[in-house]
Amino acid sequence: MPDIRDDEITKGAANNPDPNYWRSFEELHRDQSFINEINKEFKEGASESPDISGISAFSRRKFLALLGASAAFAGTACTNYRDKGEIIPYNKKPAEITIGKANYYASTCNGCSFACGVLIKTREGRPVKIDGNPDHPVSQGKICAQGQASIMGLYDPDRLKSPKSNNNNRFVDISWHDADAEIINELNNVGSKEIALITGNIVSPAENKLIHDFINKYPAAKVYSFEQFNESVRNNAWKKCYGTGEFPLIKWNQAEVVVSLDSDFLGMGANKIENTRLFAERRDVINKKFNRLYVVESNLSLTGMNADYRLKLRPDAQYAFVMAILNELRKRNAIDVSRDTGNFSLENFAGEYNLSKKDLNYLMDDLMNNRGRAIVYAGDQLPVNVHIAVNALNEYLGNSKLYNPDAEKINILPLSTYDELKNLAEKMKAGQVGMVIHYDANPVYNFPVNFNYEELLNNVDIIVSLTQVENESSINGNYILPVHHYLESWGDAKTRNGFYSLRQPVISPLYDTRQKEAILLNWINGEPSSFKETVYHEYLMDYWKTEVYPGLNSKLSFKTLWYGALHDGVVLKNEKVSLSFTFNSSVLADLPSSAINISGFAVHIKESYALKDGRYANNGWLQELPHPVSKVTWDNYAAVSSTTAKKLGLETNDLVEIKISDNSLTIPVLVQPGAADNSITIETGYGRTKAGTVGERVGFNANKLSNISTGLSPWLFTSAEVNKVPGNYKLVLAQTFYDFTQSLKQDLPKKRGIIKEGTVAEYLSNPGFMIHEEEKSKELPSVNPPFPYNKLKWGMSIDLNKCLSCGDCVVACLVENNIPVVGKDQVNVGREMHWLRIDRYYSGTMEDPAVSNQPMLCQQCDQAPCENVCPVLATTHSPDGLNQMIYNRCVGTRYCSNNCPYKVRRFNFFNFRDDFRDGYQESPVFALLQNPEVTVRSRGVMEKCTFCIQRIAEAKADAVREGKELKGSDVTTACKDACSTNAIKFGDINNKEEEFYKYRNHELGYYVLEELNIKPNVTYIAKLRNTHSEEA
Amino acid sequence: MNRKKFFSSFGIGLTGLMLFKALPFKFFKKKVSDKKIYVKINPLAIRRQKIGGKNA
Amino acid sequence: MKVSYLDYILRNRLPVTIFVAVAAFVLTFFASRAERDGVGYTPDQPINFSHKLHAGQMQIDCQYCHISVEKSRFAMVPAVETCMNCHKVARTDSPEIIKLTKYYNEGVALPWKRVHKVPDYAYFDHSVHIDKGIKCESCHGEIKNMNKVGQMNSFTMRNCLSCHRNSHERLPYIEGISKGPEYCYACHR
Repeated sequence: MPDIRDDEITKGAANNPDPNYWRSFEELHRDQSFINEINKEFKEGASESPDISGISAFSRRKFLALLGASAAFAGTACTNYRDKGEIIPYNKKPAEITIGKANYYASTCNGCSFACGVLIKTREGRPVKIDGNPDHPVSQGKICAQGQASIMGLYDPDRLKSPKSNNNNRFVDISWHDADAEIINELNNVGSKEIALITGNIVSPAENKLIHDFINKYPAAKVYSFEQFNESVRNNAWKKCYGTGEFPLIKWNQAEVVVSLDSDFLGMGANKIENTRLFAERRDVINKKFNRLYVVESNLSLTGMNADYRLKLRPDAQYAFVMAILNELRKRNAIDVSRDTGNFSLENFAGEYNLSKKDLNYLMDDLMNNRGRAIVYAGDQLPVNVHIAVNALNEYLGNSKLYNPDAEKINILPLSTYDELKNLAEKMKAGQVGMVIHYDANPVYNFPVNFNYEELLNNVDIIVSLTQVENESSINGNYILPVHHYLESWGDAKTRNGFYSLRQPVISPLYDTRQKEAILLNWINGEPSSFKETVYHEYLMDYWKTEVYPGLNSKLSFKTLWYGALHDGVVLKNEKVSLSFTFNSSVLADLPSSAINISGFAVHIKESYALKDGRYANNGWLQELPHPVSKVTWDNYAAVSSTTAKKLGLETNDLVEIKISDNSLTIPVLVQPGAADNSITIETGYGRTKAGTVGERVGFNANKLSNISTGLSPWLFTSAEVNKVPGNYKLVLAQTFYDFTQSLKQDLPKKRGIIKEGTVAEYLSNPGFMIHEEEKSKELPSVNPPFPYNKLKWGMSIDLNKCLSCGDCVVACLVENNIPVVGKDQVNVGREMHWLRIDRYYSGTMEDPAVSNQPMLCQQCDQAPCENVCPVLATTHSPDGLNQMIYNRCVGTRYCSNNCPYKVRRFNFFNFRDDFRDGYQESPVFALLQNPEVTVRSRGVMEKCTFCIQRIAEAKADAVREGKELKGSDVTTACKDACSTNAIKFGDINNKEEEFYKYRNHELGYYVLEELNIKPNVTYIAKLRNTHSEEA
Repeated sequence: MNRKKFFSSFGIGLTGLMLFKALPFKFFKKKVSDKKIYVKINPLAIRRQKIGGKNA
Repeated sequence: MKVSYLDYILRNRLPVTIFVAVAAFVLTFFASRAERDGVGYTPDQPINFSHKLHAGQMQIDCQYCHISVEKSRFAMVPAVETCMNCHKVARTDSPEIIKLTKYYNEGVALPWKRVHKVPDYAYFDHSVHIDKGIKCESCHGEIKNMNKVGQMNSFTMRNCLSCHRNSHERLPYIEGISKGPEYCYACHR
């Protein structure tokens, strides 16, 4: 194409340049050299190839490669890949430590007033497991779930680490010296005002003396001891009936018939350990001793789940019920009562409350035929009249024979009465209280709501809180003084006649805390700088030397006795008592002669099975422990019966507002099979506003309803209003609710033989009634060649007669095996990591269910279906019968869990320690809690019950060291150690001399899902209900 | 262009990974600053004589 | 004839790829042997403690210092205090002893370099082995001749199992020794 510039037009234009839009003079004047220049596409030198010799031989590409290679080399060269780190021994090794071996220390738990003896297992100087002290005469080697879980409290990252004082509504650190000095100053200058020392139940004689010394030093001081759940009503009743408030302990193991009236004596209350042990002695399939338990209650409780006969009755009607029974017995000429007992009629009563007449007849017959061998027991929370009536009933039936004359409950410092506390509240209101000391107590949360305690605190000049973790009572105070955990403390306890219990610290204080007794002692001494860590230890020893030792009449010197006492944890004292109770029958005259008017709803406030009165709210293990009846975790709820729920248009997870005069509470509802109609039961201990990272904002504060002036007893209210309110709250259950309506799922446990039951009558007449099924011996072919287990083979048996499903075994397993807390949202999707769980099955109708419980754990099947399907052989079988789970080989296929018919395998979907509450469990101090013999699992591996292989391995090593053969009885699993009824037995199936052998081969023993031919090794002893022989 | 996209996304991914690995302490701000805890046996405590194995 | 794409892949690319992969694996496998089983690792220690002198020449028993080897899972490197049992007075002029005494006086724990380490997922138990009569030298080599301790035996699972399976040949000095456990739970929990 010709150059456009050669065109005629442009030629013409070249001579007449357009004066618009020119870019340079040369262009304007059409400078020829310029035009030649711009004709070229590229400027001079731009398009030629670069001069190769000029540039570096090193191309960019080569440079980059070299960079990468040298970096790689540098990386490998820098580290010594063979470096295995350091191994750092002690500088001065404490003589008692042998690395790898545990030391045991005896001490006393302070979780409740029972003060069980504990044996604390420590590794390398730090406690890792708490078990019962077998030498303790009352707890006999068992402790409850709270005792097991209490070890988490020592390593709680939320623990206060140093004293704080309130400076313009902000807490700042303060030294102990300064805090003490200021407080002593204030104690001395309180003038005419009172110093209120608010404590929990004091069971320690030395502490009691200390408190009295404190009062002597500061006469303005007054001690108020309070426990939200106490036996004050029972004390009151006994005082009226027998003259003193002391009530006896019951010989449960000698009772043929037990009638529990809204008394959860097997599940709650400080005496649980002893009650369950004694009660389970009469659920004995080896010696064939069985008792019969009648439970008449308002909500399905743990005791109710284990009843042979159960009647539902709202709690405010219990008085009328007892009187009706009394009258019925009179009518049948069974008892001789000279006084008038009102116009209660059992027949009318049964009609009014829809109780089964047949069952009531059985109850009458049993009471009449078992005089002196039966006991009627009323719950702690029932009103005083019920207790008086029950006492009368027991007296007339001669059941006082079961009152233990040899065991006396000792009350070192009786709890303050509600009147005394009301007095305190009034004094506070009038500004007459100069100082309040919260002595490891939380009155803002626990005091009855009508006292308005939190507001009254504003009238107090100085508030000092001695506590481990910040709580509702400490947040508005002046001083927060952190105290030792009981594992760091000295102390003693006396709860019964006949022995003392001692507490010694097993670890030096982790933080700058002081023992609460030592703090008081320091204030008594008056000189802050005179404080030593051992000051209370000396005081305690001194007390023992002067007050206790002389009474022991010991041939040993004091020092020897003292060291022996610390070693044993228990000191026996020859203190025989012979209690006798003389009934004052005139007390019947004061009882109301007709039933109270019952309207509205009854509201029963109980303490939580897991959290007690709320003190364990920050303990993740306990929060996650499923409720024994409802299996709810991380929440409380209002339990209502299905009939009542239908009436109010409620379903589970709906919200209701409960109003009792001026107090109200909004709380979600759970439809509870077996609850009495028009009766609401709520557990308290939840809804705490300041409890630590774990416990805050969990659940609902039922204490809002605890207005003691409106109730029949401090925990029982009547005429409540219940209204549905809009809204929904998802309650998380660890076990999905049983759907009664789906016919396919109905009766599945029975059809599949998961739960096998019988009655006592059936068993006694035909002991082999369960065996007939096994005659059809199914020698089905199996996938694996059979292995001859002719040496030691581990097996376990769980006696469903003794198992009360309390859950103590579950918590013991959590502590022993480093099981993480996963949190509510993970439990919601079924990811709780409990290796041992308790399955609860309802049978019958929603209104009148029978309950069966079954602890379920890895059955260590001989032909385990999980072993066949692991693609990497991470789970195999050991020659001693265990199914081995090897974490380092597991890749997380989860096929094994898929194949497990019992669903006992738990998968680590996350590193739950990292996931829960922003890594709360990854805190450096939390690592001290872990059992060093058990792997701490991370994300992606499967875990399950190992039959405590770490204990088996240690026992094997011990056997080799001692040159003996390992016997099955040498090893106990954590769950077996914890079970207070000894329902779990463990041992060698091939050893005929062990007690376990009898259970393994018991005629009532069966295996769950036997027909799958996977040969599990956990024998379940079928539950026998002690119903009358006419019934099925 | 494909090569460029490949390398750029790979590079961003790698940077992100390195960043993530280098800054876990951001979330542990509070916990790392905690003082070291010393475990010390209380010298006055009396232990049970039998070591290891079963209770007592 | 034009070579098809598939032919090119099979005859050219595939053998080359296979060769590269195999060669790389074999090379790294053998080159990393020392790294994998740790044999030969003899680090410098903060204090030049010589087992040859103490255990060999002076014939101090292994268990004088490594006290818990018979009782627990761990053998326990001795505390500084144990050294000072003798070295409060013995050879106090030697520069190594001066270093040691400094550690002792300041209460600082001695950070020895770890030579033998079995991974954390294997719970090795010393006491069972010692109580069966196995001598320290069987696994740790001739410590009595070592000035600096080094790892002489491989601590891979293969090696442990080979001794467990052939205990009769590997430990002839123990009469009637039985085979060691071969099942997983013996070591891995």
